[in-house]
Amino acid sequence: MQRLKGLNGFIALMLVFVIIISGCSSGNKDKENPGSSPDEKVTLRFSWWGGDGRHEATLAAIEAYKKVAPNVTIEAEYQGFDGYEQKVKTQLASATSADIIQLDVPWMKELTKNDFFLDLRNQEGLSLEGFDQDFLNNFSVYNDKMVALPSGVNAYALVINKTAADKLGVPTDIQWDWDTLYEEGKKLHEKDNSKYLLLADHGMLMQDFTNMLKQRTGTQWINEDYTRGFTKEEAAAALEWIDKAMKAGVYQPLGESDLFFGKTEQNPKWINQDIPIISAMSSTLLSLRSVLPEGVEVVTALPAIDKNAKNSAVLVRPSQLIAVSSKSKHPEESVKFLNWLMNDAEAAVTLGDVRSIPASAPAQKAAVEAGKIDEAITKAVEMGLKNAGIVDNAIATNSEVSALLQDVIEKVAFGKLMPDKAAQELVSSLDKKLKELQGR
Amino acid sequence: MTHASSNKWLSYVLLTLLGFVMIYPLIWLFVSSFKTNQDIFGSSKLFADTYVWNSYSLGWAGTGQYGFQQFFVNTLKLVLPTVVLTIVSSVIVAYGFSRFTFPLRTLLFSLMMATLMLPDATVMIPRYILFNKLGWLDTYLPFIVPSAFATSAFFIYMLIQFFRGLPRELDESATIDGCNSFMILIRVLLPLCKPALFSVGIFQFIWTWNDFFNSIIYISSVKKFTVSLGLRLSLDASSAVSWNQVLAMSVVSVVPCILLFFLAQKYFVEGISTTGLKG
Amino acid sequence: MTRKKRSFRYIGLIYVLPWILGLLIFQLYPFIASFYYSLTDYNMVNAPKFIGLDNYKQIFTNDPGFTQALKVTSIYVVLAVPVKLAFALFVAIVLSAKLKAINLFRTVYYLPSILGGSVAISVLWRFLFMKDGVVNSMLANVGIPSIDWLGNPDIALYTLGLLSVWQFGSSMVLFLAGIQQIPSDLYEAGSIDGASKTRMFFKITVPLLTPIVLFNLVMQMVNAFQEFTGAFVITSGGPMKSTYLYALKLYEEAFTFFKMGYASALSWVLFAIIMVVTGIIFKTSNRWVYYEDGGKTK
Repeated sequence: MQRLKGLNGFIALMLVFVIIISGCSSGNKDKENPGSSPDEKVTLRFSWWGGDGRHEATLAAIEAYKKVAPNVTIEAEYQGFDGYEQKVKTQLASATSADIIQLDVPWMKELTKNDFFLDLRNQEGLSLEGFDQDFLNNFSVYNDKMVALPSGVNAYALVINKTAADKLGVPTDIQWDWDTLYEEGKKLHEKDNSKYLLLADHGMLMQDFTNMLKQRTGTQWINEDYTRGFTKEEAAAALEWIDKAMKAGVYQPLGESDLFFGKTEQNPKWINQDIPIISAMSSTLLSLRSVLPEGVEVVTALPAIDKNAKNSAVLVRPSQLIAVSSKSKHPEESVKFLNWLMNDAEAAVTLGDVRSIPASAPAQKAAVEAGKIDEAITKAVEMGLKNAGIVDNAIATNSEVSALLQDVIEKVAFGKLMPDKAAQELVSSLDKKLKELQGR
Repeated sequence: MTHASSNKWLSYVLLTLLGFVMIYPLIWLFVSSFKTNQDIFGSSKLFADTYVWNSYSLGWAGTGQYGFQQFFVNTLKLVLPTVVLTIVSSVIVAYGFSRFTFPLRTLLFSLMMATLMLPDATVMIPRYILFNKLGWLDTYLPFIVPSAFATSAFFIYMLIQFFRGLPRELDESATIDGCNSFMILIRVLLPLCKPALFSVGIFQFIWTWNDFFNSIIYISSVKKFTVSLGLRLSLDASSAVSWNQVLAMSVVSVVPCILLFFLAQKYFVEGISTTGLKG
Repeated sequence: MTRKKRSFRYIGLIYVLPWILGLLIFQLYPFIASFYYSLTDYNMVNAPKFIGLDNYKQIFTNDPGFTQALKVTSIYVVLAVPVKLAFALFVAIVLSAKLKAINLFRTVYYLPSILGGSVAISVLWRFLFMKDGVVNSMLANVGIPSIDWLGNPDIALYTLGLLSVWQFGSSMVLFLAGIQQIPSDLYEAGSIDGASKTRMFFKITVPLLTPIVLFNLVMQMVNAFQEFTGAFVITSGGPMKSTYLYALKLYEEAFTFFKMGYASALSWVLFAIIMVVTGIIFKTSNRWVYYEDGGKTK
């Protein structure tokens, strides 16, 4: 029975331990009292996702804001991208979100069905002058309310490993179109079958497909009135190109590249410089470059544009959006902080390009002058803005519509479905889904 | 004799070979925590040409305001009470289910099993709303308090199966000796179930330690982050991630789990004998 | 004696009371709420709108994703669970031997299960099984042509199954615990009777382990039906939906499409499926599970 005594003692000890521990983890929950006279202490919560660089710069900016508004304390709630979407949506659904919230563009259509966010128009202390008004109308206004501001500008571009391209004999000074991509890609892969011209996961292939459609039709690929903006034949032609390009080894096979979906920089073919070109949002350039050896030159170019394009289809969008919760107890203070974060020169210099290039002109100017913004990114965004194409409407970027397109693109890329059959399938499943969405 | 020893050798060879497959990932993790991003993702070779030596110190210091020292302390504050309460409450409930008949027993047992079978994704929102109403968001209470109420049917059912593997005569003879039912549990059954008890402890420790999806929903302040949240703190597609630091901290974060398992298993080898108790 | 038995009737309830309270406080409301959501059109943003059985109708008549997810999940369950259990049992038996350094071996064999939740595991698994990965370069050494483990739609699901088998640790630990719990006097008695080792294994070890086998079978099955992490972080359901497990479908409906009502209905369909399979296993268990307590209580 000696052993049992030991066990009893152990349990008793653990119980005491539990009481002590849980005592200290529970008791101290201090909630700030609401009250908004100017000198009173105010605590705001600010939530965002990001990597090390963004965390550090944003925390530094928050620190600097203490001097601007000594009565305001900003509690930072930051994390990586994993789980952020789920968390923010759960928080919004149960009115527990932070006062100031970083959001992603694709979530907005659904999130704005409810009054989660403050209408930022005509808010005292918030200047919208520095922003491009069209850009705001396209991405910040939903149901006639300005629900969020773009934290930065992001453009779809070709990210080119110039060092590798030069070595492989791939030109870097041309404006690419679909024919030149195919020809150069085919040539490269025939010469050495471990090399590919382009790296694309299913997301980028879908982008290439819709770009091709938009360039050839000159309209949205899905119209505002829930109809298709293209014919079956046009879809078949675009899918044909993808089929042809896949078979010729222009792209790395989808089975290999999709393993690194959303984390292209981890693809060994890119790291080992077997693939010189990726089409990607300009903000991913930093991570794409971070895995290459020092001295490798990375440049950007406009994405492929059809020779007879009626529209460039070049996508320019906010890198993220920042909104103020409508449930915030301190809306004025939150808006003031948002204004400072977006427009102030000091904030811009502190933040640099951690949320891509600032969207507000004075902030952008300050950051560029301070040399805080990467040259290649600046070039990509400038080119994108100059050549910006049709802006996708919310239906075209609807996640259920994307899922359908993904299905079809994958079947073509894996060679499991002929382009004309695939076009047929896309058209019929899209028509059905669009009708369903319209009815909702 | 020779037959037995050659058997033994065979066992060792087999165990070592298979063991290599099991341990290779940890070796890879460890070696890679000294590599550059380029070598981690670019090559399938275990060793690299260049090594980075500061990944552990930089990783430990962490980003921004809080480092891994804080995250470890936080994790212990969350995990230890959860583990202890789980063991205590599950033992009591499992004992009730396995050794007594009472009204509605079968129904209650089925209900308990049913709680295991509904996927988490859809109860997450209502559960979040519940904990919000209780004012427990951004604390560890959503983990600790339910564990005191035996909310993990997995452990209850597991202990039930182990209790049922013990002969009833043990209880009966103890009853004759004048033990009440609680003393039978403490004095007779628990000592015989030590391997099972330690399994509950090990599992709950490791699972709570590693949990990400629940923790990220309930805990918002970085100050209160656990290790598994800390590990993903800087993972984002549009930033350059120092993977050697992430891997380095992954290595550090599995050490407590490995140590716990290694130390706890001495209780798995103690041969137990029921003869002494029966007599 | 009879009076004592009667007082026993309620003692059991007292022991079970903490769980009943836990159920009422923490589990009942989410359960009921999720069932209610399943009868509504609920996007998390607006209040749920009651639509009767429409979600269920949609699932069974008009959702190819459901059929695909169910197919993939069934294959996964049928393959991964038995292989994992057999492997775990085999290793547990080997590791229950009284060998030198056995502690070390046990720890090593449990490692994959500890690492299971690590961020590093998805990186690692891709790195092992990609086209130019470690496994293929080893195979090339013995002249086997390379296999696209994760990129080929016909193979990827099995590779994920392999990941789950590799993390056999918790089943193994329970088998080990079960083996340790077998009273040594039974073996002593057996060897006095002159029974061989093999005979004792089948006549003593196996029957006494059946409660644990049942437990592992039920729990691994329940978990396999709800398997999420591996497919989510490594293949995200691809290539071509070949690893589109049920839990991925659920997650997509709930958190990508915001169709919480529909996702809840999917949850309850899965719930029913798991219930039925568990019920069948429990029914047949009367025939092959042996309880030392004489099977007096269920």
